[in-house]
Amino acid sequence: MRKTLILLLLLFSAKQSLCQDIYTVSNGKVHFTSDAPLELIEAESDQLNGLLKISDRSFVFRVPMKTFEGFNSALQQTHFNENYLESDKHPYTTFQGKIIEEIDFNVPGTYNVRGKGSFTCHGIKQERIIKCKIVIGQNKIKVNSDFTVLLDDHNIKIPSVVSQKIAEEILVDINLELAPKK
Amino acid sequence: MKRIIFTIILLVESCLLVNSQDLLSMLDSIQNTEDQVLYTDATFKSVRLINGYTSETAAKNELVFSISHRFGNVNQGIYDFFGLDQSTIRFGFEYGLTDRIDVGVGRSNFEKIYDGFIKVKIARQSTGKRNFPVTITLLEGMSVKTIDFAYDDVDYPFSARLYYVHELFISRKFNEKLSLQLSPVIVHRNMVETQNDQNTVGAIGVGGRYKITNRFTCVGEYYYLLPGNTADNFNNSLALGVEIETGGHVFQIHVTNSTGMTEKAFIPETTGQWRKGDIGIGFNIIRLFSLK
Repeated sequence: MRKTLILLLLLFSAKQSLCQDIYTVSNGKVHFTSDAPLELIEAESDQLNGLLKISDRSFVFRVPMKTFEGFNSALQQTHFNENYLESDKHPYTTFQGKIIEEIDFNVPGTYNVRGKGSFTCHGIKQERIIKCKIVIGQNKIKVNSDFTVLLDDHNIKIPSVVSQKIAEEILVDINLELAPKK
Repeated sequence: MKRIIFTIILLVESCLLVNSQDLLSMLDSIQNTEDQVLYTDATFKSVRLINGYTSETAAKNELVFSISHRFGNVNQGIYDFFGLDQSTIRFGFEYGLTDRIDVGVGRSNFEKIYDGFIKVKIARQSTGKRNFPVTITLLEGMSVKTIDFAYDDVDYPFSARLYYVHELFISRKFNEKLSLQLSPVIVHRNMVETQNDQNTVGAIGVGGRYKITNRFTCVGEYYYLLPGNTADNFNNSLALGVEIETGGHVFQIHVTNSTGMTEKAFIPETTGQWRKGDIGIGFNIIRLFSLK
């Protein structure tokens, strides 16, 4: 009877750790900068969400485009959604893939890793490898990353009259915290 | 023993279930837009459709400057260069006090009219947690005709120069391309030309836009006069045009049978007839400034 109890307890703890395989974003921010000769545009969203499965190091992160705020005017935000990103047609920007490095998520520390997968923005999928810094803590994973997105890669067309006001390469930085999925 | 095996199976099963689930579909269940209110924006490109307004208001701290021209009738032929020799102009400003309330002023050389108005977005089209099918905007406006009266020996009171407009814009963005608007309107004139004229005229406007590309739009606007003396003696206003957007500018080029650009002028006082060719070319240039 005692053996059975121990076995059951072991199993429960195994289940616990197994089911903590999936981490979810508890706090996620995306910020982007368009630094063009005539205008600097910045916007931010705190609605970045996603999941990380530590057993096979697969992940998916995405942000609803309509949640970006900031910009230099309300009209700019409207144009961002209406003319450039077409947010009604393509509501999310998504990055789905796997972490290349085999790191042990049970060992706290700072790791520099690369995420490889498909980056989908404006409905156009691009294979990307994105570098990021992961800080593993107790039941908490922090992720930091800076990367760029080329408008041309995602078929976002800029009319020549505003070409001096919108950068061809957008600087993106993300900041997120993951916690075990309940 | 059987119970233990059963438990093991159950546990393994439940973990396998989690593992086999697709991450993206799992994310869908966490991150859904159902619990948020999503307001529909950019129903129209600007605050103005053609002659009349739209349900859009200037955003907070945004200044909309518009210059409008209406040329003479094209049926005047080459002598007047198809109407381009004559022009009626209005320039106006509209400023957003909040994202839902804006105020505007304007001046037109047509009867030397000054106009002022306030627009309030009463309801906004939304999806998600709260579903509302239309955007409703109320316009309350007033205008003053400052041109000298034809008979200067009669001492008319100042109130004889005043005009009022009450209009409701009910619009719906059906999809990314098509937006339609219904606008019941009442125009009140303190003094009218003849005894036969109505002081208070009702009309129903219908209008809409269809986007050809992201920056090129076809627009149309029609004001139907409700039956009465005015409807018998004047014509319904019809305007058709295109809209081109470049950055902070919106250019609107159109043809219309109305000459005036304030409600008082184009709703109850349109005399031109489309079938006789009494139509003129016109344009609006709308520029937005952000005063943040």
